[in-house]
Amino acid sequence: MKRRDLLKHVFIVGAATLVLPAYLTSCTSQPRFALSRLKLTRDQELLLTELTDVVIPKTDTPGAKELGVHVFFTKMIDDCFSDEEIMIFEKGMASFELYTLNGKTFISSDKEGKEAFFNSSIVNDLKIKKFLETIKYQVVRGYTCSEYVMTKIIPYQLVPGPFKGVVKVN
Amino acid sequence: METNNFDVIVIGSGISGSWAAKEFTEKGLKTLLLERGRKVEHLKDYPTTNLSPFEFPHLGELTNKVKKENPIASKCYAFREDAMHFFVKDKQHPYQQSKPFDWIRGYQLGGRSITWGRQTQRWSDFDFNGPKKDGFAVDWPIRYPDIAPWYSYVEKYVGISGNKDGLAALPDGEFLPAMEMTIVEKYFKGKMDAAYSDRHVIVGRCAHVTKPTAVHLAQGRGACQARNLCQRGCPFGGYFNSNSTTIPAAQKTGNLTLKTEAVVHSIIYNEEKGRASGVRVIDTLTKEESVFYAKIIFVNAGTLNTNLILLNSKSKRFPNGLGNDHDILGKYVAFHNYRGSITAEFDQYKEYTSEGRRPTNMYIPRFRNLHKQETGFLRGYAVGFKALRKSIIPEGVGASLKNQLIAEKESNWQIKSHIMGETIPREQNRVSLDLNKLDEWGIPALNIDIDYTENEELMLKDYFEQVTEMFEKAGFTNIKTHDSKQSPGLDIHEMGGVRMGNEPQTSLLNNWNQMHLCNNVFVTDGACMTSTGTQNPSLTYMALTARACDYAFKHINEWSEKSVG
Repeated sequence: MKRRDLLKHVFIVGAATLVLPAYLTSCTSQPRFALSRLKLTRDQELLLTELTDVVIPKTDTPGAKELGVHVFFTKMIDDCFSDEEIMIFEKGMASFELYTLNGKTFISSDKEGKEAFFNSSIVNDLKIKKFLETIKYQVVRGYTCSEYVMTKIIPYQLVPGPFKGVVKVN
Repeated sequence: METNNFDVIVIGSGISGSWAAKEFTEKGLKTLLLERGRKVEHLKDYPTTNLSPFEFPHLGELTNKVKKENPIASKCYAFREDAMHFFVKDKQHPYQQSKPFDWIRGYQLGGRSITWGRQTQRWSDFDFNGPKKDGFAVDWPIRYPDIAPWYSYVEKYVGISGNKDGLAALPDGEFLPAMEMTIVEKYFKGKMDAAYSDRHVIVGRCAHVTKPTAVHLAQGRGACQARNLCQRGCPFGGYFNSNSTTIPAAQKTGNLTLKTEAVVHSIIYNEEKGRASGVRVIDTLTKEESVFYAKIIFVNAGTLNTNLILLNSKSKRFPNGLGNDHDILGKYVAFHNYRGSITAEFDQYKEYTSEGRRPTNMYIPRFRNLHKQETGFLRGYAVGFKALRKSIIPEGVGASLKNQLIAEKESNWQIKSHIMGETIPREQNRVSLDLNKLDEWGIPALNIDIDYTENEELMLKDYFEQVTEMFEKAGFTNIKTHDSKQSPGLDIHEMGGVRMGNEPQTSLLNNWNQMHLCNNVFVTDGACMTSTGTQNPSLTYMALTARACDYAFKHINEWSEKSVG
């Protein structure tokens, strides 16, 4: 763990800059996901990257893919999920690769088509639903807890100051 | 030159032991403070205190590997990536469980005072009178007036925030300004005041310096900033722990000798003098044994380890453990029942929210069986309560999801409550030594044999019924009860085994926390508790400690001749 004193920290938050890992800036054929428990094929890596982009896309600010959230959450799954949760995730992913809407798999669909997979009134396969819920949760958490979002978009208040119990919503 | 002779030896540097060290050193006594764990210095040894979530490898979550290696410790809410270095890992110090018991420990300077829950409610005579009135244990040898000035004494030093609520069951203390209630907590309080005469929703009194006095500023502590990251150690000293206050205060006197990585094997009894002469200590790193002598010995190793040390302190006079002529040492251990919780929602007051992360909650003091026996179970429970709004993950995906996340949409009001139930100390709920299983320092393993009884089941059922009714009266919706079925121990409020009482035949300590049968040994941690009340116990340990130190100091001449035989 890094050891920091408070003043130093305040300074760092004030002067924080976004540094993206080099591997995110280029698409190479090298395996990008260094995992020990979760097994992913190259196609599945691509699938998770695409899913990440669909859940939180680039707008006038970086999307989850640009922030490397897919790399982050596969590492989280690899390190933190129980053996059973990993097995369920892998099975869900394998089913999802073959699952089609309007005759098309996720990866071969266009942008609107891809978003439709997350519409739970269209998708009624429970295993697929569960898999996509996991993906959405992981992407949202990886995104909202990323250094970029926590310093540039919704600054994390390490020192919020005294608690205010009654505050009017803007 | 290093000496092995002291006026006082204090075993354990947690919340009570470090109070003893402060009191005695400030009175001018040469004091040895023994801690089995490593040194933790305020500020310097809080490695995670200023980290943001993204600076943790797993956002604070435990890895599968850590969870698998620590099936017990990882059940504790505070054992997470940011604070797990302040907890004993399962493999390091195994113990035996006759029945499931989650023993959560913190072996380091300051002990569990670094990670404690910081709730500090006073006991009243409804609690001290309990065992006698309800006939479930020996009578407490003290009453509220005996301890009240000592509550005040420690509260002023510790810094307690709270309101003067004027409730007989939960006496007021020396308070700094209370934390604020949210609008729905205020609403609930109003509803309960209208619906019941005896159910009071108050702001939990807690060891947080909301407005530092000269005392706290002199300790180098500042105002609580509502980070609610207390378990990491606080860079402001906003909450009380031993490391930021009592230990530095003791060091400042020049009278303290602090030995960390020094585990106490046993207390040595001098047969001729008829009192304890010192302690046998093992260096946890070199395994070397040393003996230290003193006139007075305070045992503050943490409830169950205090039991272990006394059980392991065998002599010709006391073959069954120090002061244990009547086979009661290690028995009548009790705890708090935290199994039940209730969640609900409230969809009004949506134009309001709160700001900051409040490090305490609301508290409803015990209202059951207070003035008369009104249920099928003995005693009662306090209720923790909070109403806050949470960030939510909006529906859908894509740009609209992203925009809603950035707009920080909040849920409707989320209500949560939990039970803190008094449990009955029973002879069968006990700890003992397994002499066939020695650890690497030659100390026998502790065997823990503690279970719930029917009384807890009935009390839990009543909590579900009563608080559900209260939530319904407030118009809360989606009310759900939950029984975690957690094992005893996870409450981290284990108490007893060396209980106080009036008679040497049925108790081990007198009204001054002094051993009936070995009067220069005092026990002022949770082990001394005759019953458990429904309050978080640490404040009472601190007050009992300061009180016992005052008494021991005034009587030191009784043990004043040179201690070394």
